Amino acid sequence: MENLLEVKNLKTHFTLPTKKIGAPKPVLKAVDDVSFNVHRGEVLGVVGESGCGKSTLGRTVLRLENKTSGEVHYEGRDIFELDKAEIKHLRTQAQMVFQDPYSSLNPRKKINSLLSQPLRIHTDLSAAERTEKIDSIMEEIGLNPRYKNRFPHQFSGGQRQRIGIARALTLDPEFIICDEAVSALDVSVQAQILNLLLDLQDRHHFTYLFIAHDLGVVEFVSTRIMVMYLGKVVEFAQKEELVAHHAHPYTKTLFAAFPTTDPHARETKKRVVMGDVPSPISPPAGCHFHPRCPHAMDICSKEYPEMREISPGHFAACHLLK
Amino acid sequence: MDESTLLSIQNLEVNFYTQRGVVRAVRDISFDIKKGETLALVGESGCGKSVTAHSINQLIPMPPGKIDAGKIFFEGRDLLTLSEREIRKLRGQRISMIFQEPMTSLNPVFKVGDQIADVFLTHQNITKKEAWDRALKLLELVKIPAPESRIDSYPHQLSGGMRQRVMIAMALASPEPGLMIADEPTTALDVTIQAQILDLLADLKQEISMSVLLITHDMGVVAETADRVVVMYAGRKVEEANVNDIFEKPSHPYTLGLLNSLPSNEKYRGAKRLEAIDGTVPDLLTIGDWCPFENRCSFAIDECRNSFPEGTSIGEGHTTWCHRVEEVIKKRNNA
Repeated sequence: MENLLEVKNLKTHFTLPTKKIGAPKPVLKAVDDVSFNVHRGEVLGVVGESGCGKSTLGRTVLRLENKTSGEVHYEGRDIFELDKAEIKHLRTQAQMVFQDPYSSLNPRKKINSLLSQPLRIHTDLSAAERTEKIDSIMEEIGLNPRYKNRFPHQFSGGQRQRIGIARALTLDPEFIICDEAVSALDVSVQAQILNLLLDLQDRHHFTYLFIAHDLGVVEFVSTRIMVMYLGKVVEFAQKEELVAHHAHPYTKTLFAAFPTTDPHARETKKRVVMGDVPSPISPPAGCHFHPRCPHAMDICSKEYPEMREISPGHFAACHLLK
Repeated sequence: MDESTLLSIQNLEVNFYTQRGVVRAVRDISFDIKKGETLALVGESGCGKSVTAHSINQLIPMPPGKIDAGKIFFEGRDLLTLSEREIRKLRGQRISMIFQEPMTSLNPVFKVGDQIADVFLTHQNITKKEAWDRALKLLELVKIPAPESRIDSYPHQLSGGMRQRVMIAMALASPEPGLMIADEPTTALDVTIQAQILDLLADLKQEISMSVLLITHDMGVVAETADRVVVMYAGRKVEEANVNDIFEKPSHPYTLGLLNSLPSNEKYRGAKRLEAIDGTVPDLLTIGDWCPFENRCSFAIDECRNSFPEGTSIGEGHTTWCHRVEEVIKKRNNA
């Protein structure tokens, strides 16, 4: 399968300020040595709890955040080596849809202006052509083009997220990163938006990097799923394989913690989770999950386990799995 | 009223009188909570679930809010006829509350121990030392690790899950907790922490006989914790049943739609599309007296645009408010 995006040993570290003069500055390793590929036409789901680095990962692969080390190749070219014109071209190819449509749309601009801005910057379409394009996109995402002279506050949350998606579509991209794109929505609206995203993919053959904390949503949309914990990828597999045979203790914890919709299941449900997520500023030594892991051994507190292929296409980083 | 009933809400009507008009937030809501029972009030944003719950201890801002009709009986007394003094006595003693975001409910400049002890000192005639000791016992009860040192912490020094445990401890700071109103208690938490808090609430209910009114939008949380469920939509109660019936025999088009909107629903294994509910919630400023779900409902007929239906009983403790209930059940059984 063709790779649209190749990420090799990517690290994104943030140096934090300190109040003590001369003291070493703490480093937050938001993304720490992450490698993966995104196949053209797939939906790669990234799931994890707050602070696991999933959003930073999404921002770094679009060069919205600077890397610390490692490589990100988009269609074979390292995006951190591109010159200005090439970056501008990348910005038309890869787009992002954000979580909060309330804060990601400029409240003082009408929908028309929000949607035509990318076209004005990146294309030489005439005003009439731009209008035509915007009308057709608004139709496509399920908003009446009559509404384009309204301001964002005149729309409901679901409609605003549709506008956020419309804006990502204006330049005919091929790669879209959805960063918690449906998390802020009510479930009935969330279902509408998930359908919309999948319909669009069918029609335009988009590739998605779908970042979310909701396992149910990720499981539904993804082709493959990557599980992150404190800056590291702990498990990575085809969706069906991961759902049926998740092997890493953290993935197991995540699946067990996710509430089922079967009230009969609660008597038999195994309770597995212990403790809190540690701070990503000073994650535990060795395997970051070992203080919460029911199977922790001596080696787990000393060495970070290597990523191993435990069955074809199924990777996990755990000392238990050899 | 039945001996076993702790709280009974009857025909509650709450309106907000705003500059733009009257927002009809809660309309003709009735339900009972039995002693020791967990009742979940489920619905999406703006359906009136929080307003209903906040009416119980009269925490809705008045004005613009106004309870225009209805009665709320707690242990036989109508709360809406009590004085502010009497209500204050009940709050924190017999009716307590936990909220979605514990950081905004805890005072950032006091130690958590002081905040819990304060509840005892307000309502009971005991010394500071005794109150502090009881606060420590409560922190143990809600399973905070190393409670002896945590009791001296300030809220910002605790994680989100710990803060919610402190809130729960405060809600239990009474010799006789009666009703705990939990308003989206796990919505702001990560899923592994949510599982811990839900487990804790289940354990506490075993230890202390207390009733819980759980307000949530998350059907997963409902399935894990509730005994009975009231489904609300645009200010109205549309279905009420025990938790198994809600998931196995949903009989209102909205309840069906809500369950079908969940991507984790078993029936979507390998599917590429969800059965979403089309359209949006009606504006509560201009809402009519007919069924509020009519504009999004695939079963709707002319009658649905004329009147709000009477309740139809379709099983023990299972009632639905729909003109087309027979068709809904037929379709559900064929699916």
